Amino acid sequence: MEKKNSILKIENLSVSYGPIKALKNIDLYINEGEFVSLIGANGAGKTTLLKAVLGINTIERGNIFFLGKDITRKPTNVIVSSGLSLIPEGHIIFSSMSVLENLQLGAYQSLATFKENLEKIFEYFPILQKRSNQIAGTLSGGEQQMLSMGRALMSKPKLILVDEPSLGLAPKIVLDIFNILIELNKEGYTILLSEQNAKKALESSSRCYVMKTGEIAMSGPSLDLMNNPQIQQAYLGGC
Amino acid sequence: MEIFIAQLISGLSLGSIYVLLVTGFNLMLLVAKIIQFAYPQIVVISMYTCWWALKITSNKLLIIIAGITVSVALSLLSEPIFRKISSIKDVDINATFIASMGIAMIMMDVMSHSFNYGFPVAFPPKWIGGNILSFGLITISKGQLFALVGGVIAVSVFFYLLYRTNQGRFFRAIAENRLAAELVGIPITKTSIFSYFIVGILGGFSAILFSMLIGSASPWLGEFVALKMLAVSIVAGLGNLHGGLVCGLLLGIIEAIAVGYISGSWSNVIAFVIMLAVILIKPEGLFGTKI
Amino acid sequence: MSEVLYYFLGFSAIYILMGWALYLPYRVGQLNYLIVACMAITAYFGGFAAREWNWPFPVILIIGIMISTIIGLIFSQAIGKAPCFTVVIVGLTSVFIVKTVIENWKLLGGTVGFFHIPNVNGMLIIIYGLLILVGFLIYRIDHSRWGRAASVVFVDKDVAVSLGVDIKKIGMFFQIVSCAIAGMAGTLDAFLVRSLSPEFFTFGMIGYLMCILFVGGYTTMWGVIFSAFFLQGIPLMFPSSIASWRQVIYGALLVLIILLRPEGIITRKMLWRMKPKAYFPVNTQIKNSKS
Repeated sequence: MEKKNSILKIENLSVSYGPIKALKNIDLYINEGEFVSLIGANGAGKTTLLKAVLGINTIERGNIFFLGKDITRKPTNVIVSSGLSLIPEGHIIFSSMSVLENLQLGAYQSLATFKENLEKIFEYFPILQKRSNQIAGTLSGGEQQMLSMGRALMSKPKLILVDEPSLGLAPKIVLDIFNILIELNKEGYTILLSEQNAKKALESSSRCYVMKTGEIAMSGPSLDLMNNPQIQQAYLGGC
Repeated sequence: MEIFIAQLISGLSLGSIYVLLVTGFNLMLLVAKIIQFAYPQIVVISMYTCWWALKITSNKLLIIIAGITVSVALSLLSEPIFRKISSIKDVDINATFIASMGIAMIMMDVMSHSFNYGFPVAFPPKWIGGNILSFGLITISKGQLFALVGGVIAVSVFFYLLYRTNQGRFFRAIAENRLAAELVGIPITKTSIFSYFIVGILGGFSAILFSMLIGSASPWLGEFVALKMLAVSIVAGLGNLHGGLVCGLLLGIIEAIAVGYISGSWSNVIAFVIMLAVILIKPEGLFGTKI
Repeated sequence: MSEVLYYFLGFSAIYILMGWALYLPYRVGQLNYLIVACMAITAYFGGFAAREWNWPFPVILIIGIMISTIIGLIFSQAIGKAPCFTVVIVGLTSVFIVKTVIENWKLLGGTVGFFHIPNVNGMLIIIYGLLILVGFLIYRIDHSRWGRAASVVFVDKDVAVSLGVDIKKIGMFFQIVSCAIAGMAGTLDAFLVRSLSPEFFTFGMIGYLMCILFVGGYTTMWGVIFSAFFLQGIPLMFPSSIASWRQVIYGALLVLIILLRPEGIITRKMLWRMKPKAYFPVNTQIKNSKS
C-alpha cells in the first residue's frame, strides 16, 4: 500500500520523442525501504522512465515528487544532489580515470563523509579496493558494473535507480550483483530496479511494476505477480 | 654550443607559452565542446591592454591584473553565444568553429582600426626588464627569464588544478563522458562557464608572458599565433592535454633553434613545414585524438 | 563599362568560383582552405608565365588548373577522410607557407607585389563563360551518385560506410575538384586584376570565403552565387567610413547567420518549396505523414 510520505511519487507522467509517445500517463510510487522492480520487454519505456525521473528526458506532462518535493523539470545535478542516484545501463564509467577518482567524483556531494563512505563501498565491493589505483577502462565488465554501483552509492543516495544491471554480464556475476542489491536493500537503501530478466527481478524485489509499450500494464507484490498466469506466460517462460 | 643553450632557453620559454595556449584551446574543446578559434585574438587584445595600461601606470601588478581581467571578460562574453549555438538542433562542433572565426574577424578588425592606428606596438624597456643577464657567452634577457619561469609555474599550476582538485576532476569527467558526468551530479553548465573563466586566465597569462618575451604586438599577431596553436593541437592530437604539453614545448624549441641558425622569416616556415608534414603523415596526431 | 562595375562583376565571379570550391568539399563536411593556397600559386604562376615567358592565356589556364589538380591529388591522399578540423589546419598551414615563400622570393616581387601582367581582351566574358561551365559541372556532380553519397557522409559517416560509400574516395574526389576550380579562379584573378600581392591571400580572404559559403547557405550551390554578389556589394553600398569596417561586418554576419539561420539564407528546403510539388510526389508524402 502507498504510505502517506512515499519517497518517490510519479503522477500522470508522459514523455514523447517527437511524434512518438514513449511514456503514457505513468503512475508510480515507492515507499521508504522498499525494493521495487520494473519489468518489461525491450522498448517498453523502462529506461525512458528512469531518465525522465533524473531530468535527462524532457517531460511533456505530469509530476514527479521526491521526498515530498516537486522535482519535475529540475536540472539533473540538482536532482542528484537531493539524494537520487541512477546506476546507468551498460556500466557508464570514466574509463580513463582511476577507480579511486571515479569514486571521488561520485562523492563530491558529500565530501565530509568521504572516507567513511569509501570504506563502506570497499566493504561491499572488495575488488574495487584491490584495483583502486588502476585505470577504470582496464576493469572487466562485472568490475565496471560494480564501480558504477559504487560510484552511485558514494553520494549516500536516499533512492537508487538501477537500470539493467545484468546487461552483458556472465550469469555468475549477475547473481553477485543481485545479491549485493538485496544486501543494500536490507541495509536500508530504497531501490528501484529496471530489469529485462523478469525472473531475477521478481525474486529479489518486494513489489513490481510491469511496463508495456509505455504504459504500466500491471502492478502489485512480486509474489502475486510471479503466480499470475499472464505474467508467467509473457515474462517467465511458463505455459 | 653557447648559441644552442641560449636558444634552448628561449625555446623553452616560447614553448611554455604555446603550452598555455594549446591547453586553453583543448580545455574549451573538451569541456565546453567548442572550437575557440578567437582565443589567440583574445590574447592579443589582452596584450594591447597591457601596453595601454603601461602608459597610465608603472605598477606591474596592476598591469598584469588589467591584462588578465580583459582576457577573462572577453572569454566569458563569448560564452552565451557559444551556448546558444550548441543548443541549436542539428548543429555540430563545426558551427562553433565558424562562429568563432567570425568573432576572430571582428576582433582583428577592431584591433587594426582602433588601437594605435593599426600600427604594431612595442613594449617599453621598463616592462621587459631591458638589461641582460649574461653568463660568459650566453646572454638571456630578463623578459625571457620571466617568461620561462612564469610559463613553467602557470603550466604546473594548471595541471595541478586539473589532476588534484575537484574542479579539475569535473573538467576531465565532462570531457570524458558527458552523460556519466551529468548522472554523477556535476553541474554541466556551471562547470562549462568556469572553464571559460579558466581559459580567460590562461589567455591573460600567456599575453603577459608573450609581451615580455617578444616585446611587441600587432593586429596580425593573433592570426599567426592561432595558426601555431591550432597546428600544435592537431599535431599532438585534438583534446590531448599531455600531447599538447610535449608538442608545445617541442615547437618552441624547434622554432628557437631555427631562428638561431636560419635567417629571417624562413625560420618560421621550417616549423610549419615540419608540422604540416606530421599532420599529413599522421592526421590523427602523434599522441592520439581524445574527442 | 565603368571600372567599379567591371571589378564588381569580375570579383563576384571569381569569388563565386572560390565559394563553390569551398562548397564542394563541405558536402562531405570538410573545409578545404587549401584552395586559397592553390589560388595563390596559380595566380603567381599565371602572372609570371605571362609576363616573363609570354605564354598565351589558354595555355596558362590549362597548366594552372593542372598544377592545382596535382596539389589537390597529393594532399587528398593524406587528408581524404580526415576530420574537418584537420583539413582546416592543413589548409591554413599551407596558405601560410605559400604566403611566406612568395614574400621571400625576389623573383615574384616579395612583399611589394607582382605587377604588369599582360592584358587579355574580353576577360569578363571569359570569366563568366567559365563560371557557367563550372556551375553546370557542379550541378551535375550535385545531382549524381556522388552528390547523394556526399549528403549521407555529411550527416553520418558510419551510416555512409554501412551503405558502401567509400569515404576516402569521395573526400578525395571533392578535394581534387575543388582545388582544380581554385586553380582556375587563381589564374583568372591574375589576369583580371593584372597585379598581385601576397597580402591578398591571407586569413582575411579565408574569412570572406567562409562568409560567402555560410551566409549564402552551404546546402545548395545557389547560396554562394547570391552571397558573393551581396557581400561584394556591401562595401559599395556604404560610404567609405563604414566600408572600411567590412571585416567587422563580415564577422558579425557570420556569427549572426550561425545563431539565427544555421543553414544559411538559401537552403535546400526553401528550393523544394519553390519548385512545383507535382514533380516531387515522394517528398510531399513524407511531409504529410509527419504532420
